[in-house]
Amino acid sequence: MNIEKDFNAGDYAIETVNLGRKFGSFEAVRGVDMKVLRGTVFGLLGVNGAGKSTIIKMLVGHLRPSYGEIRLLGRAPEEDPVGIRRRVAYVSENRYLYEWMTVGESLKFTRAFHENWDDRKAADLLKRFSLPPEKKVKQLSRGNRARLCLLLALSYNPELIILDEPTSGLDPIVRRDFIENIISEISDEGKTVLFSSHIVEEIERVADNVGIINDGEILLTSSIDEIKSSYKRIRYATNGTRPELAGVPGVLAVENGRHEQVLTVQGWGEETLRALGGRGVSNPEVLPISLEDIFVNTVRAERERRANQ
Amino acid sequence: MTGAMLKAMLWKEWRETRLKWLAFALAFHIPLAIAGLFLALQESVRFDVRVMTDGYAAYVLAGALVLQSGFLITAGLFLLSFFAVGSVGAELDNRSIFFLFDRPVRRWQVLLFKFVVGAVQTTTCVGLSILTTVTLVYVALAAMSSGVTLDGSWTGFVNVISNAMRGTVWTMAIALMVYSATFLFSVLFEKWWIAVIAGAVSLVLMFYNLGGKFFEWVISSATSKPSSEELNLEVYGRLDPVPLLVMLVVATGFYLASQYVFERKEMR
Repeated sequence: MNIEKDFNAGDYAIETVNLGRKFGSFEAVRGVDMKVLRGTVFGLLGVNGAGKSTIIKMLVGHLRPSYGEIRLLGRAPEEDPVGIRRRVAYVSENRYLYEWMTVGESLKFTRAFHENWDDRKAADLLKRFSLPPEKKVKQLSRGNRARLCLLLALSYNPELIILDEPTSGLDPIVRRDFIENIISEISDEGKTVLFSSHIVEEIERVADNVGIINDGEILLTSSIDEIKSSYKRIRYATNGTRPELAGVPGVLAVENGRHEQVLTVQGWGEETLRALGGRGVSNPEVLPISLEDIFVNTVRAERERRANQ
Repeated sequence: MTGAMLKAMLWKEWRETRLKWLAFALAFHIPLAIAGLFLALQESVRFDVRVMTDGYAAYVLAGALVLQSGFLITAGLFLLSFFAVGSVGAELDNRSIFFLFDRPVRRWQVLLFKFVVGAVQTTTCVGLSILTTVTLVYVALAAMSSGVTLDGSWTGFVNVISNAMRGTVWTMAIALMVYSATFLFSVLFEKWWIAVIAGAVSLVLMFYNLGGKFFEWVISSATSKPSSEELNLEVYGRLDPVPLLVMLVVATGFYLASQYVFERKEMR
C-alpha cells in the first residue's frame, strides 16, 4: 500500500529512493522509499530507536546516506544546500538554541539569516505562545523552548517543516497545546510537514498520511483514512475449538480469549471472510481498529517474521 | 553570506567571547604585571641614576621583550590552545552549532568566519601584549631614572621599538600557526577538553621535539645567527620573509585541513 497514485515527481516535497544508513556493521536505516506530497502532513511513526531521527538527519544534511537518494522540494539537497535551507525548517527534539541569548535576541539573530522573515508573523506567534522577549533561553521551560523553536521555524515561511519528535519531554498539557499550535499554523497555509513521533495519538491528530517505521524499514505508508479502512479487527466465537489460520490472507495478529478469537487483518475484504468461513468460523464481527492497534500489530508481526527467518 | 548575516555572526561571536578574550589579554600581561610589582615594591632594585646608561636601559628593554615573547610561545600557547578550541569546539560540543547548520549559509563559510575572527583576536592579543610590554617597560625605566630621557636615548629607543615591532610580527605568526593547529583539533574532536589536551600535547611536541628544528630555523633566520649559537638580545633583529611565509603556509594548511574535516563532519 502506498500514497504515490498518479503524482509527478514535482508534486512531492520529500522523496527518498532506497535510502539507507549504516553505522559500522549496524544498519540503522534500510532501503527507505518515502514520498511526502506537497501541502500534506506526513507522520513518521515508530518506537524509539526505529530510525526516525536518522532518516530526518539525512534529510536535513546532518548525516550522509550510506546509499540511496534524497530529493527535497524537487531537488537533491547537495545540489543547492543553501537554497534548500531557505525553504526548509527543521525543529529537532533537542531544540538547539543559544542558551545565553534572550528570546528577543534569538529572534533578531535568526532573522538576519532569512530574507523571507515575517516580522508580523513572528510578533503574532510571540504573543500567541506567550513568550517573554526579555527572558534568557536558559531560563525557559521545556515547553517554551519548544515553542520558541517552532516560532523561529515558522517565522520565515518555509515551504517544508521537518519536526523530529518535537513534543519529546513535554508534559501532556504542553504537548497537546504544541500540537494544536502546529495544526492551526499548517492548516491555514498549506505547508508540507514531516512530523516524527512515537506517540500514535499525536500522529493521528496532525497527519494526513503516515509511515510506520521499524528497525530502519518503512513497513507501511498510506493515508490514515485508507489504513483504517484497510485494517480491521475480526471477532468471532470459538466454541472451544480454534480454527487453523494458516492461509487466511492478511492476518497480522491473533488475540485469544476464553470463548473468542480476535484477528487483526491487513487488506481486509470478502476474501478474508470466505477463508474464515471455510475454516468453520461463523458470524464473524468486523470491527474498526485504532491506529495504535494497527501500529502495534504491524510492528509485532514484522518482528515475528524476522525472528522466524 | 549577506551583510546582515555577517553582522549577526560578529555580534554573536563578540557576545560569546568578549570576556574570554579580555581574560586572555590580561593573562598575557602577567609577566609584565609581576615585573612591574617587583620593580615597584622591592627596595633592592632601586638604583643610582648615574649607573643607568642608555646601553643598560636598552639591555633591560630587550630582556623584557625576550621574556614576554618567551612567555607567549610557551605558557601562552596553552592558553591559546584553550581559546582556539573555544572558537568552534565548544559549539560542536554543546551542539549549538546545529543552529547555524540549519540556516541558509554554507558550512565552509561558518568555519572560515570563526577561524578569521579567532585568528584576529589571537594575533591582536598576542601582538598588543608585546608592544605594550616594551612601551610600558620603557616608560617605567624613564620614570625610574631621571638620567635617561627620550632625547638622550633616542637611538636605543628606536632600536628597541623596531625590535618590538618585528618581535610582534614573529610572535603573531607563531601564534597564528599554533591557533590554526589547535583549531584543527577542535574540529576533529567534538569534546572540547579532548581537543585542548590534544592541542597542548601536540604543541609541546611541536616546539620541543618534532618541530624543534623548524623553530631553530625560524629563530636563526630572525637573528641572522647560526642556530647553534646562543640566543642573544637581538633575537628580533630581522624580518626574514621566507620563514614568515612558511609559517603562514603551515597555518593555512591547518585551516584547510579543518575545512576538509568540517565539511565532511556528521552530526549524530
